[in-house]
Amino acid sequence: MTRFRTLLMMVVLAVGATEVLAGEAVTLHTEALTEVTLVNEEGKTEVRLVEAARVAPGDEVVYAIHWENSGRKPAEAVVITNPIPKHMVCTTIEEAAPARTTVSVDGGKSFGPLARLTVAGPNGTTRPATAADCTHVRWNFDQPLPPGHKGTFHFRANLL
Amino acid sequence: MTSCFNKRNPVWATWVTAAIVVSLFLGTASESGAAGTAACREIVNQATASWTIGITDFSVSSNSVTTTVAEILDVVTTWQDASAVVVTSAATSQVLTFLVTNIGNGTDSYTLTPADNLGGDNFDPGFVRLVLDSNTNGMYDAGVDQPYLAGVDDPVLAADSSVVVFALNDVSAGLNDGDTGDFQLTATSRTGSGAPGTVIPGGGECGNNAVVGNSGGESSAIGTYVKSDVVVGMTKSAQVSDPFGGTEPVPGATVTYTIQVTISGTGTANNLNIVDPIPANTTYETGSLTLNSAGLSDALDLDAGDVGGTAADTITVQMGNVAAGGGVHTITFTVTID
Repeated sequence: MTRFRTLLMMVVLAVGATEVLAGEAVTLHTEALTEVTLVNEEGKTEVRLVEAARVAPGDEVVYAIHWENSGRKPAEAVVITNPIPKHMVCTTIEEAAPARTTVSVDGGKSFGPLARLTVAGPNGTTRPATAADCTHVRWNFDQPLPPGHKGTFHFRANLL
Repeated sequence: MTSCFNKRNPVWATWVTAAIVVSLFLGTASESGAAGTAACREIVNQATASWTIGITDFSVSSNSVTTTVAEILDVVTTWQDASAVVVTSAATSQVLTFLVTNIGNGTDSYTLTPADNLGGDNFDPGFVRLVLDSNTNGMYDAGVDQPYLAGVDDPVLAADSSVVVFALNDVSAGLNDGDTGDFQLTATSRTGSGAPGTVIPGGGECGNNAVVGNSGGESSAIGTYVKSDVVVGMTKSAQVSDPFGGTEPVPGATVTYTIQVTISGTGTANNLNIVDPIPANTTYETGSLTLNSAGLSDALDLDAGDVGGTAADTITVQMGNVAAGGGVHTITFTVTID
């Protein structure tokens, strides 16, 4: 039975690889960015996002999650999940059409809109959750994602 | 980029999902110190997507984007003595105590610089040397704690750790009572200092950039000496009350002693203890000890006084550090003549 299951898995994986190559893939690319204020050629102050190779405690990082249906078929029930990186505390999560934004404040066990979540306070009390309580950010697409559609989601976090 | 997929809901897929959730949950514990996340730590972000096409589930992980934590250069120097260190004219090698703390997020070393010609005081202390608290007991131990030589003994401190530094100065002759002399200790990051935000390329731990923090990578503190003539004055009186309503010191009569303590001059009498043996052929009346009209228990405990606890058959009142000019401090106790 075990041998049969292993064989089945290998077959399934092989078929899966073929299918992804055939172009049924949603692709994801993430970037860590930081805002810099500079004076442009026209002498105006401009805020730009540049790659955050190094950050210091207290610095804000803008995480960008670029998504695309690079396949040939609509992708259904697309869910993109991003755990908040270790040592970072989330400050802002962008609402981003066409997806619904939800978060987890319990390590990814459950997700919901931030405004409806609570966390445990002292002495058995609870308080409304804030962005800082988030452990995961999730974007749910309620409509199938057509081939070729792409976009970018952002959330911001500070280094502890 | 990695990708995989599975037919909807086979048993092994559930196991894989459970394993991922557990590992993410364990991964949320923080290891950040007071100074923030440690330098050189790598902050990794990775997103995942899942979707279905027809009856097939797919999932994919994004690239991992890694950001390295830069080293923040921050230091704070504080003067540790509770109040001005009391000195006499022409005293030598008088000790001020400072604490230098690395409040950055990585290991750094510091140059220590003395300054004794400050304004706003009455005399300039004569700088002798800086001494590091080699045995880390917080107290200056002559001959044990090692003198500091700039460039050779610059203290190396991990994030959030500190070193006690003693400054030894001589005191001028011919000072007036109450004259003060200031001394300043400065600790400067050897990695870099300057305007907050200044980047020292490659200067940080693991070859990364270091960034000057809000302290400017440098911090100073001023300690003060005061020339003081503190005079502790004491007067003791006794009031006798005999069993017959008179004032004769007969057996059975009680004697209430009153000790009046006055601190005059300037400065502070440190660790002032008033000690008075119970007279021979008398018996202390339990619970009769008072300081400034407030009762003190006879036991050696948290309050200032005890009877027979610090020394046998003796009244001891530990008044601590008493500033001059604070009025009269009155101690009373009662004995019975045997």
